[in-house]
Amino acid sequence: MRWRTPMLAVATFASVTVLSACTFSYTPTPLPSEPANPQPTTSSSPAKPSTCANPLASYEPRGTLPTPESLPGGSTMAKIQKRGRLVAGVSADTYLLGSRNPLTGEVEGFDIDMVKAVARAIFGDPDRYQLKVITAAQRIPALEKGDVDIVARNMTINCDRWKQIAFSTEYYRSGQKILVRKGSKANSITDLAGQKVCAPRGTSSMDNLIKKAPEAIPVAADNHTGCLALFQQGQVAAITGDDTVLAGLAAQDPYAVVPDQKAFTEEPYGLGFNEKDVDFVRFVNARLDEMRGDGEWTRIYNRWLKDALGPAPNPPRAVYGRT
Amino acid sequence: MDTPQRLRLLSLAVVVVGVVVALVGGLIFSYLAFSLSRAKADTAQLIRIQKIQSNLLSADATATNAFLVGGLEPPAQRAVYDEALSSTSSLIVEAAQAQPADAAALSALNQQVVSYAATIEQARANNRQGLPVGAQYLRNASADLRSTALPILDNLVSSNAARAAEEMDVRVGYVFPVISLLALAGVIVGQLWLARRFKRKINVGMLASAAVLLILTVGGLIAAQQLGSTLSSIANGSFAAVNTAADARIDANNAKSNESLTLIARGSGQAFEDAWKSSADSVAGNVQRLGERPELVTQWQAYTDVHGKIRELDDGGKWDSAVDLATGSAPDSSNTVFGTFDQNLAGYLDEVSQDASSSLANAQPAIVVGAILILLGGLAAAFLGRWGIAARLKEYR
Repeated sequence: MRWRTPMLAVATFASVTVLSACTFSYTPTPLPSEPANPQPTTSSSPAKPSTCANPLASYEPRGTLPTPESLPGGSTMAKIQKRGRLVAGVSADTYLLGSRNPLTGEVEGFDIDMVKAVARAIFGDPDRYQLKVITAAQRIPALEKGDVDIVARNMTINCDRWKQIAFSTEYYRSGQKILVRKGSKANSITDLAGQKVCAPRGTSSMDNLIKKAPEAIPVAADNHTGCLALFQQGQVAAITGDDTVLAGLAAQDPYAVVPDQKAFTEEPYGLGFNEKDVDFVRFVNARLDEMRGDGEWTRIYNRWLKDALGPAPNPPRAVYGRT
Repeated sequence: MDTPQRLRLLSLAVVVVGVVVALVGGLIFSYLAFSLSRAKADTAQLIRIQKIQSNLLSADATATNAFLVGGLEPPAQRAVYDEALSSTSSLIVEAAQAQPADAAALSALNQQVVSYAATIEQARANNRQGLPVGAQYLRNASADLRSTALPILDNLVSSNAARAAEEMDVRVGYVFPVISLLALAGVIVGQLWLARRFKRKINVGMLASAAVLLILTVGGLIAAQQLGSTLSSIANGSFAAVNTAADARIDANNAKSNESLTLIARGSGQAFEDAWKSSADSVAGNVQRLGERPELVTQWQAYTDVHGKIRELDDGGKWDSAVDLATGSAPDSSNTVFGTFDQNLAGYLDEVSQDASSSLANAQPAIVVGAILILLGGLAAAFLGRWGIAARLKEYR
């Protein structure tokens, strides 16, 4: 048959056209582009701290500590007593100072025991308190709005904060230190040149790290516990922060140690109050004096911090003179 | 050129036209049948990927919720987590076999799932010892899941949805009636030439060939049109419902995780609550769109009410009561109310997934039959035309 050849040509042409229209394999599913590596926060230098004569000076107690039965009428303490509970703003994730014990569900620590001591002075019962877990940034607004009576959340006394709130006398002297792996030779922040050091994003700990150890590689996490996770995963060689916080981290990991060292900053902790509650500040200062004198402060210190930081030092001296 | 030569040429032309119609039509319709089976496979893959996504988020929701309970997690929740994670693993393998183009993405996903599971175990180990760093590992695992695994899954979903949509585009079917119509016109011209040249005005073979081509043209047009409307009703019906329901389930489980993460963060969880809100809004919109199951709307509303109560308790300083409501198994607890919604939605999702693949499967046999009929019809047109012209050629012997 003569039409065979053209036939074949046509058939081939047709098949090629139709088949080229259908693709037999798909283009592979693309992978998402790698997220940009989080840059260490080279946080802009903080506003120049304001100065004042002596930030540690608080309001002097008037006479001896009144008993729960003889609180002055109309005072802040009397109002709290009438309400039936002391409302305190605390942290729930700073181990040893204020953290939730996952086994019991209770928030506990050095700061919480301070709250209990104040509750005992007002009610004669250390358990008449309600905790509100707040972030570091919420401490001052919570006091200003009156959401809490007292803040016990590793809060450093300084001149800036005195403009907005009131502080008790110093109840703990902390300072910034470093935490390293067991066996590391580093015992000061300057030994960490060229190594990755973690601090929480946007804190004074981070600023100090950049200032005091410009050779170290700063790595930011959301909080100190986040730094511990990075440390355990080998992503950072050291963590820097207040010694109490570091003690809390070291207690969670037998391979993390806070070597003997001199703190490179001074962080005096105070209990925070609304600036109008001067009577309450005087009352709590009297209570703190009592605790310094009768060994209660030392007992509390040893309960929480002795294992991590060694036996209690002398309690910080009370400074008065604010009017 | 004398008349017999012209007749032979015409005969050859008619045969070529008929065979071209047969081949092109057969190929187009086979291609459509092939597209449809690929659309079915793509839809199945899409459903698989969405299942992986909701399984992962449901595992995360369970893990975070169990965390709130305390050091010892309830065995029932542990079992749900294990089940969700192991079915995720087998689905990933299944999906990689089903679609080689997804293999690279699925292997990246698999790495993320492995690292997620490892971090959760680390969280669990620390939590059992009462160490707060456990909660941090849990947060890291959840955050990594969202920042690395979910984007891969999003890519997989959109790639497979695009593939299925491409395969469901059957406009190429309209090429056949056009070709068939051109062939018909050619045969009619040949018939007219024969009518002018010979005494017999009507050539039965050519007329029959033209009739066959007319039937093929009309039939092909109807078939292409029918197929288009069937597929668009699947695309807008069960296929769309699959996507909407899957999105709702994914967002719902995402919200449930964030509810627990907010409570775990205790006072510092505003970011998780914000994430809860945006997921919850999207769930509400999607269940509203699923007109077929109005009870889903009320069930979701019931869950958001419980969530509102949890937030109220937590914000009011009653964290323990909030946790009780979030982790308990009472009839009005978050877990129970959410579970009712989630199970109902999962059941509905299975149903519409079945629908989508079975309606795609149902459309296939008709297309295969169409391809065979066209092949036979085109060959018949060629044969009839040749036979008709052969009768005229005989007159010259």
